[in-house]
Amino acid sequence: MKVPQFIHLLGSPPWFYRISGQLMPVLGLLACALLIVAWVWGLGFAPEDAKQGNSYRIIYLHVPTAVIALAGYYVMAFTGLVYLVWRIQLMALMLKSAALIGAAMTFLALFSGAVWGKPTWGTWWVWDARITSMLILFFLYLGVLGIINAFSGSKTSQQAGVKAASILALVGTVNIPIIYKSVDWWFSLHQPATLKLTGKSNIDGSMLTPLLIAIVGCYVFYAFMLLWRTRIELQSSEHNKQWLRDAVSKK
Amino acid sequence: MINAPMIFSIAAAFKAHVKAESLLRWRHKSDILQPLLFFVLVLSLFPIAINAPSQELARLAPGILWVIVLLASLFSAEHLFRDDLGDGSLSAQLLSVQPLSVYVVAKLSVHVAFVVVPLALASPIMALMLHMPGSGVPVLILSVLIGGVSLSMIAAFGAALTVSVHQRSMLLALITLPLYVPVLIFASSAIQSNIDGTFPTMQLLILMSFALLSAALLPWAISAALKLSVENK
Repeated sequence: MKVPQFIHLLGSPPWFYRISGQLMPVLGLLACALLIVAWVWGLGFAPEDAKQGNSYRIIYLHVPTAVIALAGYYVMAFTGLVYLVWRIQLMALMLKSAALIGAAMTFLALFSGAVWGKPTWGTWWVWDARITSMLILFFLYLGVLGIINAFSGSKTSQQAGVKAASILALVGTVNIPIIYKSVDWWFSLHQPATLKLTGKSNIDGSMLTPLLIAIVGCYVFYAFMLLWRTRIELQSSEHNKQWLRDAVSKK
Repeated sequence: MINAPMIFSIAAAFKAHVKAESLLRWRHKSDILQPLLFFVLVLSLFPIAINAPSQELARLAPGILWVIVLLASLFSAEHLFRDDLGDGSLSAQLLSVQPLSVYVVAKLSVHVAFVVVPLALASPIMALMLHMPGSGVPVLILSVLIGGVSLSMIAAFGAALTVSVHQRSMLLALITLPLYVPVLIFASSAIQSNIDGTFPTMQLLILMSFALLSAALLPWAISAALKLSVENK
């Protein structure tokens, strides 16, 4: 199969190391700027919610992390696919990083949701469709991490582990929409829709703008973290290579 | 002197696998009883733990029964590929001219016949023990039969991924149980709906589509997982 130029370059660790080194400061500063603007705006200047008062402001953390948690799964599955098809070692490292960051984001979304639920619904946990899907997504991430950890040891074993994790991630990709729809159907049968979180239609523009900035900021932050984690994984897996020594000593 | 033709047809290979696997299962009859015993054991814990009047138990019965079906299918699939990996017959399968998925589908068909069918047949007795209304029983049997196909496929996928790993039970559960969720939802809701008086055509059709989808797609994933498990051994 003819491989696009971009994928070829991704197969070269020195290229990735150089480019990610240049990109990271840009992404890091951009993420900081966007998140500071969004959170200062959202926490300090956006209007108070008529029903929930100030407690709704956790939305500026909750929704972006939830969005990233779901998108991160697809990033992970995509790296897994590229790894299975083209056997690019860098993708194996990126899959590991994506699994870890994704799991952390999912946890953060669940945790902030629970904190939000306490003042709003009067309880830490509700078996609502979105929360349940999120919990299952968290388990899927843990499964991928668990597989990677279980295949520790020799280099061939680790590679087999990443292959296993890639296959699992791909099967999970097919399953996520099915799980999401089933859970949604199940709970719409049992519970009134009033327990749904703030829908897109009923959020005011003055609250929406900082939310959108926070989501974009979170995406940039995710990209930054992904490059950073992958660099660390690269440094530990290629620690005895000459190019890495050269790159580090050049600094 | 074995006079084997060089290339078997896929159908012949499938038949040979089914025959060998059925014979193996039949010679370990205690393994057939194990999931059933597990079913009764776990089931008997619920009335002891909940200590509720029988109508309360009856209300919980579809959910309880299906959670136990999930666990029984999970544990019965754990050792599905272990012996084949250990004695090298899995490596031999990889060298065969037939695709590995023929072996996988044959093995799982036998698994369904020896594990899912007995579970489905035993489920009315279990339903009786939990005082589930009799109107739910036919749908219970149907849902176990249909849903059992997807469950076996998913559990086999988890087992194939983890077969070369030590201490796999927890990992297998972590991989498999989240993927079970859609089947659990539609199966238990099908039973509940029949008890409430509407025949659950929709739920049963969805369960059927899950079964077909998993039977069509997962054998590839299982084969890929088995290949890397052999490499990792």
